[in-house]
Amino acid sequence: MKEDSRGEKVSGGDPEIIPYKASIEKRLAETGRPSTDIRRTELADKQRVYAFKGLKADTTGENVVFQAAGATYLQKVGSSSSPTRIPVLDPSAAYYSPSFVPNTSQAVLQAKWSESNFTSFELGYTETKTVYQIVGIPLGRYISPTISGGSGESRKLAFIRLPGDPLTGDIVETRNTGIYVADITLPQQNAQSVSSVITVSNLQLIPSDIRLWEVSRLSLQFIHGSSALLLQDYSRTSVIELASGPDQFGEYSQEALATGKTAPQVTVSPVISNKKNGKAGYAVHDAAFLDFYHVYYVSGSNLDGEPLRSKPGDSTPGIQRLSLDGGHDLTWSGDGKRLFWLLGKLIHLISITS
Amino acid sequence: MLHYVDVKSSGEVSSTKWEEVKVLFESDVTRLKKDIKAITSKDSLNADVVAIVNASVLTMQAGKFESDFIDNGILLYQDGEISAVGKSGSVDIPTGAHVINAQGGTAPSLFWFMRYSLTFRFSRAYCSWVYRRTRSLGGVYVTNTYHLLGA
Repeated sequence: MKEDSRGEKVSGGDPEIIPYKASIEKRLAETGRPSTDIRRTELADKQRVYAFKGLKADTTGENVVFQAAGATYLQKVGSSSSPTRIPVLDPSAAYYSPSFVPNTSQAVLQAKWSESNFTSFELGYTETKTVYQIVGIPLGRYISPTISGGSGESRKLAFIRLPGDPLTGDIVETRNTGIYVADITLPQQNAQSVSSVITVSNLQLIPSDIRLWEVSRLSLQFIHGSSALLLQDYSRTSVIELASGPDQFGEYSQEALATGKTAPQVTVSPVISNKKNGKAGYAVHDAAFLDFYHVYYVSGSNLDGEPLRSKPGDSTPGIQRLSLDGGHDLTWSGDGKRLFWLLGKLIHLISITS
Repeated sequence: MLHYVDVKSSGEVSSTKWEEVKVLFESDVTRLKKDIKAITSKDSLNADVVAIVNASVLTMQAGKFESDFIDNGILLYQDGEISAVGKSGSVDIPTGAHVINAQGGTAPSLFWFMRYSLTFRFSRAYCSWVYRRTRSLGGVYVTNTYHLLGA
């Protein structure tokens, strides 16, 4: 190269050929041929499920429910028995979002999916195999239905309405998304049932700043009877106060109990009531969160007011990693003494002692 | 698989336990078999058998084109899997079977998967998937699946 009068690099002459010889040695490996015959597995009448989701525990943590390949199951913790399928009205339909109804004899609320009618809810009693269809819910895509605690039959029903999904798109039934609450009366179990249908009433939208963009992280649960809702959405758990009702603008009080810095899932339980400025509030007793595919636990007394984080050198004080290989779908038992999570074909649990 | 958890000196957290969950589900093959049985008459023998005749078939048995390619071949499907492949005349077609004349075109394997996806057309990724799946099952290779659409 040489420089011209303006200092730009230009060609300094004709290019020259640099002769060379290359020795190329090809080392081709022998083509691998799989020796495993997967024909029997592929053509088997039944195949095994190795991934579960939607894990929920009952009040004492002795039973859990989950979804596996479009069907919902109940597993008795600590027993060697296989999980039993939760009774349904249409065994060929896809069911999801199972949750226990507190203070009942293993009643499980779950959602049924239909590509034409979208979501409907069913209440199944696993002991008596009785199933009730819940009607009075408008057409829509719903997730995470839950029924409040309490000793009587009059309860509250809550669920989350979604704006769309990848299969059915986001053209129809996209309005008024968020949390809904309705009144529901559970059937009397001792009395002879005259109807297999439960009608809900007083359905209303609860305004909130729910994060709907990651559906798999959404979870809803009543706490303290039906006085408040524990909302778990992406990287956050918050409490929506229902008992005090909406303010003058129709808004309900929502308070974030714990958030994650990078954690997609933050779970909190139990939530204990305390008095702040003469007003009832909620605080974190224990928290567990999912960070970098691992499960971490921290006592509520160690929370420093910052988002939960797990990186060495910048972690929430007193955190403990509970998982060795990772996990997902963290959930607490109703009494907050047991924490569960899923990993592949395994359900994990740990008891948080007093 | 061993899992453990570090216990703090305060003893606040006890050890992690885990248990295996065994759940079985009905496979697509089973579902399709049921669908076939539901739409075929019980009286018609071999109604669930499909024979593709006059087809160009490339098996993957030896990995050599010369020995794997069958001109004017027959492909027989039953119960969701390939039951026979061979030169015309060497494979008996059961009475009552549904016969498709491929007219020299390449015959598809994994017919049920294709039936399932006909309405979606075939993407390159899907054909690649069929190829890999076919090989894993020791079946035959589909070179031009669009022949089936006109069949």
